[in-house]
Amino acid sequence: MSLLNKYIKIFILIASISYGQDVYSAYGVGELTFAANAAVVGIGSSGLMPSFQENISLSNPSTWLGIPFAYLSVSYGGTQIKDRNYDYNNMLSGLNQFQFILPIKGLFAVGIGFQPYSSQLYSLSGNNIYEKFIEGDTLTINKAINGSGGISGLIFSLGAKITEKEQLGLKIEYLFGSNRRQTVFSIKEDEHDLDYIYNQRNIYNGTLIDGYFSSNRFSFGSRKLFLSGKVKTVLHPLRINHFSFQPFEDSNGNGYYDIADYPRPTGVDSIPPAPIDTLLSNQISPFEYAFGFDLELTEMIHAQGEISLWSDLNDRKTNLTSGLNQRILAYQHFNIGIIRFARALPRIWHESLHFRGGIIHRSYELENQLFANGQSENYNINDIGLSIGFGIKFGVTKNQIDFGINLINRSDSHNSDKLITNFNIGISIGDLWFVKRRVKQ
Amino acid sequence: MEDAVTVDLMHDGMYHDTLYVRGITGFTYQTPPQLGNSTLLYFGTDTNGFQNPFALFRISNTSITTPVKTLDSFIDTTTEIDSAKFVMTFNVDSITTDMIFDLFYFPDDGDSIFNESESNYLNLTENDLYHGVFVSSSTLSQQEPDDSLSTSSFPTLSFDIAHILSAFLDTSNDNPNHTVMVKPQSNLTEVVAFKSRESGFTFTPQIKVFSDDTAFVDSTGDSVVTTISHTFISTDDLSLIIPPDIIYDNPNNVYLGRGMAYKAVLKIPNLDSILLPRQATITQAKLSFFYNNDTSQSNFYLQLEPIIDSVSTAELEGLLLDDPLTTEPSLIAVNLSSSGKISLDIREYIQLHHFGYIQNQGLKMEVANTVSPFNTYSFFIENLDSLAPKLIIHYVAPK
Repeated sequence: MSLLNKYIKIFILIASISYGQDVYSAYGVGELTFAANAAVVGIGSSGLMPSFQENISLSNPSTWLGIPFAYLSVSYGGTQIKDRNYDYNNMLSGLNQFQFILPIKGLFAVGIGFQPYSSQLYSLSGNNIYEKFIEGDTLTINKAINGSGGISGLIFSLGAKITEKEQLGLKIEYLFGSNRRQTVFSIKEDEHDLDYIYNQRNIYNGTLIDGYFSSNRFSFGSRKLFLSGKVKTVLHPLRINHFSFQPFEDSNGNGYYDIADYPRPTGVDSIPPAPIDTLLSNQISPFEYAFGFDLELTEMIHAQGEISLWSDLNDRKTNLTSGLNQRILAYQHFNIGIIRFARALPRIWHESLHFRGGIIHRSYELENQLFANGQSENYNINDIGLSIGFGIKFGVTKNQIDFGINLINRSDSHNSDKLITNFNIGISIGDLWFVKRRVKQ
Repeated sequence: MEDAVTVDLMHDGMYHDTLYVRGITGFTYQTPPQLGNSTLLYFGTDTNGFQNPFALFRISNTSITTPVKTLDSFIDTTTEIDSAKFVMTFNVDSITTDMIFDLFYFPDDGDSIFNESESNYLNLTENDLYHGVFVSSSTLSQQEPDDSLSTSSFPTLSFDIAHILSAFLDTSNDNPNHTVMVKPQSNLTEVVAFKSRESGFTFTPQIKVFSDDTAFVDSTGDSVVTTISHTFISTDDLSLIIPPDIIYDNPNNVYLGRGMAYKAVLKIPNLDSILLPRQATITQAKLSFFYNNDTSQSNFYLQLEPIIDSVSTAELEGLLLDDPLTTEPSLIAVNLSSSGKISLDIREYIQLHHFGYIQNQGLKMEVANTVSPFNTYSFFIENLDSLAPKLIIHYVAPK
């Protein structure tokens, strides 16, 4: 049985907005971006419940019917991963979300946005240098694997009011992107030390669909209760064009394939042969459902909670070739928190501020396929963290600047001293669109 | 720049593995010996029966000395030729016996008497050279050092050719002859060697022409005349070798030797059936042989070249006039022998065969750059497992 089949497919979901350099980033398509904006980071949720403004979540189109203005929102985020046991400290930052939302007469809302769906950036070195003894020769072998890239999502969203108290939302996410992975296989024999480099490239495309439902029909005593749910599934299965390049001996040690390397590249009669292009269809079938509540404690203070469960329904032995020797089977997310929203018409300065805080718990079930006999061993990863954030509302059109940060402790069966820090800062500009303006005479 | 994360990568990315290929066979074939590219020219008869009756030389028309001159430019009567010599340099620095050699030239035979890379004892015999006209004789001699601190120069043969130089200067001949032949005046019971053109400019066989030139004239008419040496080196040279009628026929061995012109075809029948991963990159392909380690023989270089065309065994039987095998010289593998075992890395051949760019038609096997061309080396082929040739392929491949 090919060992490729032991490698993962996967979507690994580790931290809600983290996509920094870690071993988890090397699994499957990398770490998914769940919460792409600062308001969601501040409460520690996956974006289902309204945290941007009262009754509004930038990530949930069924909450957009109450938006008074069109919004153009941009956010920038970063992740730091510090592992004291293995003494590394990595950080990655970049543009997280660009989104335009247009409400239409309080009955509909449409949106178009762009955000990373998953990201990979990793540099892994083997912890097991091993020796082989062949015909009197001793070979010392070590490995390193590097990779980067990711999948981006072009998102079309629609929200619609179905009753005075119920709203529906729909998201179509067209996924596209690529990643590259380089394996450096070092063989040392006597004084000769040579690297053999194997390059792979994946090109992705596929479509996901998310359905949202929201209701404020219910109450808890005299307190308003807002409920929302989400189901995500595959509309067009994720296809992967996998390119496997011929490994080469990096004879001159420059890390690139050139005329000095082996097999020596030549012109028309290409040596080595062209990369093997494999179309991997239906490799990943994510299915996710989530449920959340928002309870109005006072006019400005709300308690929120979310729970979501994710699993890969494609449990066949797939051969997604960019992963390490693990695959994620499922994960569960739970968060609960408090938000003090800004007042609609602030009377003093701090009433223009949103304050958000909460706690996060996530657990991931991974299958570790290390054994040649086909036996696998499952293990869990647990994240426990705190989230905090604030937003500043300003201007007539309710423009807003938000900031959020997560502090997460990650533990698994091998390591319990890993600290993940996520931060996100965003700006949202509101305006009235498609309004007839009378020209002054 | 991010820090590398240390993890268990034992089962990820790539792996290294090894294949052992056995069942390698081979057979010897023989062509006429051609030692045109040898650094030495041989005369006499070897104890094994190798005969080296004569050597042929083609002289360049252009000098290597300054001022550059051509041979035919000496036809100018204003240049007075003092003397002209054909000089050969002995390969060792002392003389043990007196040896006299004769020089011949071919005034009527054009300039295509021999071809350094193609002439051999089957297509060129002494009978073909009966037109050779005797020029002069020379005894191998050595100049004494000037003082006790100086070292002796190599012994040389120096033939006087001044009286036939005009034949070399003839511009009316469209096919001028610049070929000479040297052969021992009497049979030599041992083989002696002279340096050939492949040994370098200094010792290459050459014609030296000494001419007088007026170097200085003053207003009173007094003048100084100097003698100038012009050197015309050999551009082609060949000593003919006639192998003995010995037959090496142990079927368990293959035989290689330059003097016998024994070569071999090596077959690796299992190569087409070995299962290498599709994207395997060969890191090493070591083909090892064992041979009879005759300590009286010096080390040798073994050379392997992939055969391009399919040739049947029947086509290689008997003494062949020409070598029918065409090979791929860019994939040549060479290594020096060592105490009864020799290994060559043929990974480029295995890699290209794996890619499908070259067919498994076998490998041509021969020895090269031996100190003596008269040695014959015996390699085990169909032997006990421990002495049989084996191929060990190391490769890396994606997982």
